[in-house]
Amino acid sequence: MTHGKQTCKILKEIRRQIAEANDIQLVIDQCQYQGDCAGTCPKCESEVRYLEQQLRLRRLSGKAVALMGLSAGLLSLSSCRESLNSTEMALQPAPQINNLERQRAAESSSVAQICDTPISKGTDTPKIRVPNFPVVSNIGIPESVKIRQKLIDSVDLNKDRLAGIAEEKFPQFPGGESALYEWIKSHIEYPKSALDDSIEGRSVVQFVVKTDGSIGDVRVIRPLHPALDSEAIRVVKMLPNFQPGQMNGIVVNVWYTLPIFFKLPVNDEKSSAPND
Amino acid sequence: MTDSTAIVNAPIHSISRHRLLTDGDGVTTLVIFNGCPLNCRYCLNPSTLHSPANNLYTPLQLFDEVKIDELYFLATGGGVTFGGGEPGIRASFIAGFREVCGPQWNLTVETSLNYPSDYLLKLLGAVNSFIIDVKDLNPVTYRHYTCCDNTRVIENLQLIKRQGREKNCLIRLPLIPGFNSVSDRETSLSLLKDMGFQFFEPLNYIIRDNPLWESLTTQSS
Repeated sequence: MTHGKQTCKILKEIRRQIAEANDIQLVIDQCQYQGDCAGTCPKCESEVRYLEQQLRLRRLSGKAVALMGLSAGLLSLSSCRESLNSTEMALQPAPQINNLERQRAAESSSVAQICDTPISKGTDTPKIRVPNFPVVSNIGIPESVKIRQKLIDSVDLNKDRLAGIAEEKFPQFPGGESALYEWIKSHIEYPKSALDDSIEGRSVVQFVVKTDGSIGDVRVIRPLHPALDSEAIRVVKMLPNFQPGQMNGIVVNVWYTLPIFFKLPVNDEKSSAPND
Repeated sequence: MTDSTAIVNAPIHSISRHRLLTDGDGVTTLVIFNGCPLNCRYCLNPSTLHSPANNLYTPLQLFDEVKIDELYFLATGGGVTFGGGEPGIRASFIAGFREVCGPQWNLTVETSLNYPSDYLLKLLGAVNSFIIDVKDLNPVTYRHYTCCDNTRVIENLQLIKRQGREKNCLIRLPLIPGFNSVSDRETSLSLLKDMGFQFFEPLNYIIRDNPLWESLTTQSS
């Protein structure tokens, strides 16, 4: 895959995440372009402009907009380390204004600086995991669920920061993803106030799976209803330990984003068994 | 916005969008200034050594050009990285740009720190992080490689420490063929750690023929 195609793929994923987090319908077609891709194109740009327009409309209608740092996990600079082992990387010389062909020529110019840090593989595509959760009734995770995970730091930020793209092993809930959603389903209690108000929808929770597998820093990044958000946080905080994530064989903290879908039971079940 | 942002302008060599993992966290746009006080033997961007009168931007003009990617900046924690050339000598421009773009974008400068401390103070008030290429802390080696003195570099490193901003700095430590050794680099690393800096990125310069560099340095000499 060319550098441009890889850039395009990452930017497309960012757009998808923005759309999903803000309930914006965005159909992203598979790119059919076979030529040398610059990383963006008029179609990609039009999607950005469409997202901007939709976000403006959300703001105007008084709705919350989820944007800041939404996709930060996709691109974390592995910047700092002290060891002086060698792995080569070519830094990019100055590109030319609005002239990507000349930019590429410059990038292959005859003077190069070589960096020996792992971020040198900056043109690789970060791994973005999209597990397939089943749809469940009442409380569960829709089939379109996506988990966004970001590597937030390495074992020791001050000594050996190695964030970014690398060989990644994502945290695993004991028993796998289906077990995770079954566990959540079995522990969620539909808040009475939300039932009374007939509130349903999706609350998106984000948390860190720590290096010991425990859960921390639980927060709602896309609120739904105060009672439902609180219930989502309560249950996530109760989650049993995960198998922690790894990067390049090093156990690392990982951001884990989990949408939890609250669906009202049918009327005759409303007062008796909201969770089933 | 102050009036100064309307009148400060700077020569910009080029602008590169959608850079991923090369100039800081998130999606970044690299803005490359013309002009540099150093004359490094293996300059990566020799075409930026001079400051042509064309391609002059005001902060607002630059903002208008790069804001097209604001959505990516905000979603990924990215923003604009200023390189060059030496962006430090465009500190007023960068401070003006910060006033225009607001506080949310992540601004980074790739700098040698070889300029008066007044410039650095302006940068400290405007940017989030620094990527600093110190070359080699040995003044003889530094002068040999850059044709310049590195006293101001050391003073500015100390200023950054006094301002409590050392945690926002990534210091590049190049191994420069013919100019320093691994041992020299380790000495620089040790000195910088003693000064309180924590984040480092070792580099190896690889030297190949570059007719452009030769012609430009000949012109400038």
